[in-house]
Amino acid sequence: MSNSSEISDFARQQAEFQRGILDGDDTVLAEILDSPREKRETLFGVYRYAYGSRLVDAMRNDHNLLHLYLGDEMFDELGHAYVKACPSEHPNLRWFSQGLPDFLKSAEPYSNHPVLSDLAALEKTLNDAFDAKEGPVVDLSDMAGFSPDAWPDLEFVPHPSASRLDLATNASAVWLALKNEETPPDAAVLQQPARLLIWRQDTTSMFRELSAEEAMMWDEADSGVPFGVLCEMLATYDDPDGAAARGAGYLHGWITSGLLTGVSVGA
Amino acid sequence: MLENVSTYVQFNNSEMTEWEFLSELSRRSGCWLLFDINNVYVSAFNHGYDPLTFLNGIPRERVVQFHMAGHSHMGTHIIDTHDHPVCEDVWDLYVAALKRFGRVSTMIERDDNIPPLADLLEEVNRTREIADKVLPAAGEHAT
Repeated sequence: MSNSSEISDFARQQAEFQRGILDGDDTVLAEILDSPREKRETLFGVYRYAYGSRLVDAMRNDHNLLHLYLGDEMFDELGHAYVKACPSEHPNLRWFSQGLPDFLKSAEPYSNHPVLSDLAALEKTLNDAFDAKEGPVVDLSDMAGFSPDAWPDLEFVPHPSASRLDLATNASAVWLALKNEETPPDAAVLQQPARLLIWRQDTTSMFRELSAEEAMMWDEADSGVPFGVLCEMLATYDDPDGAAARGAGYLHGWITSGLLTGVSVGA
Repeated sequence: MLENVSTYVQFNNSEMTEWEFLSELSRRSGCWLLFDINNVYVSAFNHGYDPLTFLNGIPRERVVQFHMAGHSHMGTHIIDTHDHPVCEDVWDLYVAALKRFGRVSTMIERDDNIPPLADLLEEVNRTREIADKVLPAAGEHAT
């Protein structure tokens, strides 16, 4: 047998082994031996079982409150359905469950309970905030360097860990109750989406709910709109006389929470 | 450095034993070996060979670390779960490994069903006590 046909034979066997684990295909069993005490089906079953159960274990880690919410049995059923629907495509286990919120949003019966997808999205975004890059944090004293004339032109860069998430359900209340080991409220779809801001302060992932007005200002600031224009936008949202004060108040909150990584005078 | 794994199946077209393969891999690549004593025990039980044959088939000078762990015994096969204390048979194999490879750094692996820290430290101390007994002049075994 030539070297290249040995390699291709090995590749074939490896592919069959993988199909045996992923799809339940039994072709590879023809090349596996029974042991002195056990049949090959059972022995190969160790690999089949371990593959799925380790992925579901990783999902339990990433989504421990969703796991707590659903209980072992339902979570594992959901986990194995996800493993089947969204096969692992990344060598790093860290990214395996990234598609879970979308899966729960689209796959029945989970899609009939939108709180599940929202809860998964909240956990995913908190995990992502924890893992996000480091970045400098703007301090209130940094703001003293800008003359009053410069303020309308100030532009803001959010901290690399900061992101926004809109939830259609009361998943954040469910999350809080589970985190505090309390009975979660009944799941409910909200009249208005909950606008969350999620970030990492020191080494802790945080979230808080924003008013519609603050969420608008954050989203616009994130896209590079300068402070003066942000205040004009706030004036169309609510009492125009208090717009600058409200804008300064929101900004103060962002800075003291470590939400900004850069402030500069725009062009 | 490469570690020997726990295995559950063997193929009918294998051309060498696992210890021959590992030895050859280490010889040709120059890599060091992490010798997992529990994994040798698990594979030997699962495939019905003597763990000492595996142990004695590995070149003395290539092993630079030991791993010790517990496993789940299913009756007809053993699964490497790292969720139990190290079993007595594996402690016996540790003695044989010390005699063959000398006193190398040893780690207790525990991933699940974690006991109080004191229990784990007791296992760590047991590795030291056994090593002191088997190789009394620590650091001078290279002769």
